[in-house]
Amino acid sequence: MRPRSITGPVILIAIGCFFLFRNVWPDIRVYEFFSMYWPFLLIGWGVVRLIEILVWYATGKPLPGRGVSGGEWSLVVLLCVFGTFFFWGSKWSPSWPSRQIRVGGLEIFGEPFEFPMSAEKPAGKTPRVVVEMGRGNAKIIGGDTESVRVSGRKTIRSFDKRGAEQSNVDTPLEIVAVGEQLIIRTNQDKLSDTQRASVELEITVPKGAKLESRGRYGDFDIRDLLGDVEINSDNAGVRVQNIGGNLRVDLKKSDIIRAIGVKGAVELRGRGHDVELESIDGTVTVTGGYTGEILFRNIAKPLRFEGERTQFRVEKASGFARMASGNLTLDNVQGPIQVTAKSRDVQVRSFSGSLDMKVDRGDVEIRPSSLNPGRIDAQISNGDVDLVLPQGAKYDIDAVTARGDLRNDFGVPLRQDREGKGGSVRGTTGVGPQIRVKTGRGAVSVRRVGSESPANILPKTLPKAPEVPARVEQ
Amino acid sequence: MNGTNNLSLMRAIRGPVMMITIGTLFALDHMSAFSFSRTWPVILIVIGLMKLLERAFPAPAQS
Amino acid sequence: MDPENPLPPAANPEGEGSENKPVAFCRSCGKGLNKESVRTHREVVYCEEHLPKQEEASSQWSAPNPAPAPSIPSSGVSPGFAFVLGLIPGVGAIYNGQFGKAVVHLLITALVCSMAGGHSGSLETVFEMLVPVWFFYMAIEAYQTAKKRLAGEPLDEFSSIFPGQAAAPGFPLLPVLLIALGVIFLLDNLGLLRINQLIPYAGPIFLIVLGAYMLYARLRNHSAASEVSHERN
Repeated sequence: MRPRSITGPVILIAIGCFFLFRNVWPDIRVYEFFSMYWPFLLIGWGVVRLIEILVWYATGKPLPGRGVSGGEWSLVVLLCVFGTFFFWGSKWSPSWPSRQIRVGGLEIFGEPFEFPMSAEKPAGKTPRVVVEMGRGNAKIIGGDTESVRVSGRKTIRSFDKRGAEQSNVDTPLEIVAVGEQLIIRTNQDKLSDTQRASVELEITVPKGAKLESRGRYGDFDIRDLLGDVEINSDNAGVRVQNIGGNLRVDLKKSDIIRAIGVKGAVELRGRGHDVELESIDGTVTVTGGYTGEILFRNIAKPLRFEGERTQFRVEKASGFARMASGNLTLDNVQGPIQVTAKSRDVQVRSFSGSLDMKVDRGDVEIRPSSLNPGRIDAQISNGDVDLVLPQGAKYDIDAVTARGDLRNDFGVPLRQDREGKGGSVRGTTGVGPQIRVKTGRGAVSVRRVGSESPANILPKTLPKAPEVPARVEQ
Repeated sequence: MNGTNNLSLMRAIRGPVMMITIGTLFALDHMSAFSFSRTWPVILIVIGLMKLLERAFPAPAQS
Repeated sequence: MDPENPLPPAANPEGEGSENKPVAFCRSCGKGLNKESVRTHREVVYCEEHLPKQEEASSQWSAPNPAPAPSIPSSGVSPGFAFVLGLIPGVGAIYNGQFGKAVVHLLITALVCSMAGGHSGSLETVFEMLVPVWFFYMAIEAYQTAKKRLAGEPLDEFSSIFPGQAAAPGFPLLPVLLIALGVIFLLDNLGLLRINQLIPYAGPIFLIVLGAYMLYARLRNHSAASEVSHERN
């Protein structure tokens, strides 16, 4: 009997696992995961074939002339092409401390050579400043000056000093006035791909400046400006503090965006890992794919979050809205509130105003405050609902589960009925807004504040925001 | 007979070993500083080693 | 997933079994073969019908017995003219009627020039030095080949490009070369070894290695030749 390879079935199993994984943990970005880890598929495949051949050999079965057939090779090439494509497409990588490893005491990219940089140009009181840089970090601070001052250093990796000096000459630091704009340019794009220069800039601009920065890879740290700030980058960490105007951040990828104290509107787009916005006086709009810990605190105007699988909006957040690891918590927020989530546990606590909620899969906790009660409408396809009402709240309650347990700790005014596998808790506690809660599958409980079990009291203190890792070397 | 078998084993594992090598290099490329443009000579080394191993087993006598 | 027909145990023509009992199966069609009808090509079993045609030059390294080199006719060859033409990549070889070698020379020329012109970092100086060396090599090589042709020596398409086969059938030249090149490039890429630091030693080392290899080839050739003559007797 000619042995048959097990590769086919193994690949089928792998594809099955892939989609299972996607459905079970939808939060993990599978395509980015694939783009990062596809080489292990290749390794696994090779190992399977190797073991298979060794087993055939050990059992004395005839061996194939070639271990990997032409058809398989073309699949491998396809995999490599797609994998590389995805990898460069998403440019996603887990937070490695640095892309630089020391081997035998020598730098992989040659030795670093450092060159100081500085430039200055008068700018007036309210200039428009554009920063165009490649790889590197920039710290931009508004001050009581009427000129733009740049200082810092450039690090060039090279095998010899001569090459480094040439590269330094090729990438001059310029401040150019183009019409109204003042452009600060580091010219790193003039180097070829094999050379690498990164900059560390400290830029002082007049307080009233409007700022626009474009970078490729590196962090922006911007402070104390009265004008608008706009940041575009392929990959950046952004820290912004004390901005008088609007803030717009558009990143292909980021590992942190933190903004504290913005008077105008904040708009974030793109993809990123952690987001922290605090004390924003304008509206906040966040669109795109963000993972990790997302925290909004003290937002004075409407907050809108449009993620790929989770969307919510609140009219105002005196407290916070936090999204992390399959969880969305809104605490001390003001309605009208809207929440749509595909797969996420949702807690809405101490809120006022109305609440509209739609959750596909996930447990839900609804805990209105006694102030300004509003209409509540929650539709859950699959998950438990825990409705905790304040003492003396007046509502017209209709909580239904199609399949699952019922619990009524509220007491007498509410009536509990079993209907088939599900049931309902209905009743009126006084003349007040309506509560419509419905779950397709899961337990429904209606409780009064104070009657909850201690296990359900979650700590209200927030975890500290993670330290921003220093990204670019040195 | 044994020599033939060893030789065909070496030939058969050539493909899988290459596949594992390439996979490893891409993995390194994606998650460490060892980019593919730096590690490609490993492929040469692996091919050379495989050829050397093949030579270690005498080719069977053929008509 | 597995279109490849696995190779059954290779036939041993001297093995036991009756005439009609299949001792092997064709790689292409799976037909059972007895020991009369077994054909092999590069250690793979085929039936008469699917036996591939002998490839001449491409299997230099694996074919145990390469096809005898066709000698290229020689009449009115001028070594001096060959030298001059040899300075033009490929032309010297074409003059000597070695089109395969001409192609190889052209390819290597392109490679060397692109390496010398490109940003190859620490290797750049080496490649720049390599360009004139390579051009002179081609000229001298054309001159030598022309002289051999005048002397009526048999030459194949690729004479002196692949010196190993005829000279040293047992020496694993290709594997060793691959490994050595791989190690050198890897060390250079990783910054552990600066090839331009090695340039002062490169010439002598190259000569030593070349001499050692030639010595090995000569000795090997002698013993191989004597073995062959023993076997013939």
